[in-house]
Amino acid sequence: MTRASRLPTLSGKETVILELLLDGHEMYGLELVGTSRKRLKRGTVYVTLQRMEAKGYVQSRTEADSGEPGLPRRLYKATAAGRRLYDLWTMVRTKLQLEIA
Amino acid sequence: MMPRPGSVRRLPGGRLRRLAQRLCSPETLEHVVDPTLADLQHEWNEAAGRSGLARGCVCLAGYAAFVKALTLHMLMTACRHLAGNAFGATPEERAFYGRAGSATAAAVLVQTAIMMVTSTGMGVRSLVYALTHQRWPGGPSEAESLPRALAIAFRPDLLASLLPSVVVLVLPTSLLFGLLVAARKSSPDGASIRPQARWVAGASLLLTTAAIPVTGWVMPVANQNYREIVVAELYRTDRKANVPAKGLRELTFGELGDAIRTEQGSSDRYLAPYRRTERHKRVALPAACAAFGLLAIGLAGRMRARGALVVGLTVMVAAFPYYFLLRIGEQVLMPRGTAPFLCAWVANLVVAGAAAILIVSSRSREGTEAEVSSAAP
Repeated sequence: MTRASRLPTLSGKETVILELLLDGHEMYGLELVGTSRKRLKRGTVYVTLQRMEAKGYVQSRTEADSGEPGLPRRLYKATAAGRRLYDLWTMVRTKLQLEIA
Repeated sequence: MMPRPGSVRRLPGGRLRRLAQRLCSPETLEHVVDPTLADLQHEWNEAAGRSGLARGCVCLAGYAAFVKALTLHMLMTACRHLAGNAFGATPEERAFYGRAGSATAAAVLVQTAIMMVTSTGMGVRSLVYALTHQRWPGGPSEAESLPRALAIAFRPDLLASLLPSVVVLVLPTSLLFGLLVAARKSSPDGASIRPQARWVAGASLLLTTAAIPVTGWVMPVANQNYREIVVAELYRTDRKANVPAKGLRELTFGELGDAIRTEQGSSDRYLAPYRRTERHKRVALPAACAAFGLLAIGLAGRMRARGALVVGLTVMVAAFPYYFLLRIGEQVLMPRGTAPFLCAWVANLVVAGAAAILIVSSRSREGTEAEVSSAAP
């Protein structure tokens, strides 16, 4: 099976991120870690987000100048493709769990 | 992503960002480095009214996250590079890795052969000593013991047991040699190309990761195997009937951890610093590949026009202080009560420090040269 024809999948961390971004508002990495109740780690969140952005599940932009000193934060939000994949993924997982149970 | 003017210097992470700028691609900088440091700086701002200790904790957590994120990213990048065609590596990258890989393998073979001959020679000497010191009236003399010592030392299973320790020890310097040779000439058409820091860092990190199971599990088992064979041969007993007790170097990573935990509850803690140092060493030895990889980045620019002999001599010059400091850490710092971490890592820290100085100086030299050439009519 070639890379292009492979079915899209979601890892555990990707599922958590999409779940947190599902309502459409933007979040930065540390905020995602804070609201994930220890399901995401600070050291891995941006690597996962970068991978998800490359796959087209999330999109990001640099925060507008907030007046605070320091580097501007990067804000992420789920794309339509990401939201759709999350819905399908959750549905399939629930169905599988029901079948197995 | 550009920092807001005049703001970064006062905040934590400024130096880390400048270092990352030298090592990482713009994409990594934008998507991994800057967001991680931005979070640290905003957290730092929010902790402005809190105690110094609280701000220190914020800093520490941020730095730990930064190191973890960058290491993870570089490992993934190295895997992608190694995957070659499937992930779209450029011909230049493939040529670089091909040359670096073959030169490293050749250096490993040569250095391993030299180390094996040296270690076996020392082994023969110890065996002759052991055999003659079992002396009793009419017992064997040194000349009589030599053939038996040679027969034991050249047993294939004994030589095989020596291999993991030797390979781990020669890996960092071999990698340095391989990377410097590859940096001299890398493109398929024979023209010289400059190796990118992230290729070198990726290869070094991958080798470090691959060597950790060897030092943690394979090497101690092989060392114990070596002792068992020697004892069985010396006393002419069955190997399983007379198993020697494991020393520090024969304990696997897990066994060392267990021994440290058990010792914490007991009153006799004499061996604690030795065990802790040994445990640090099991990571420090493979991590030397990363330190020597950094050194390769620093030296690559200076080595481009040099011959293989100069490269080989440079590697020897770099290797000597490393091995010397390894011994210093173990035999001078340890008995004086220095922290186990420092005893095990001092050689790596010195090599990495020297590498950082070389990288910074070569970058500033290139900057000056670029300015001069752009100013020329």
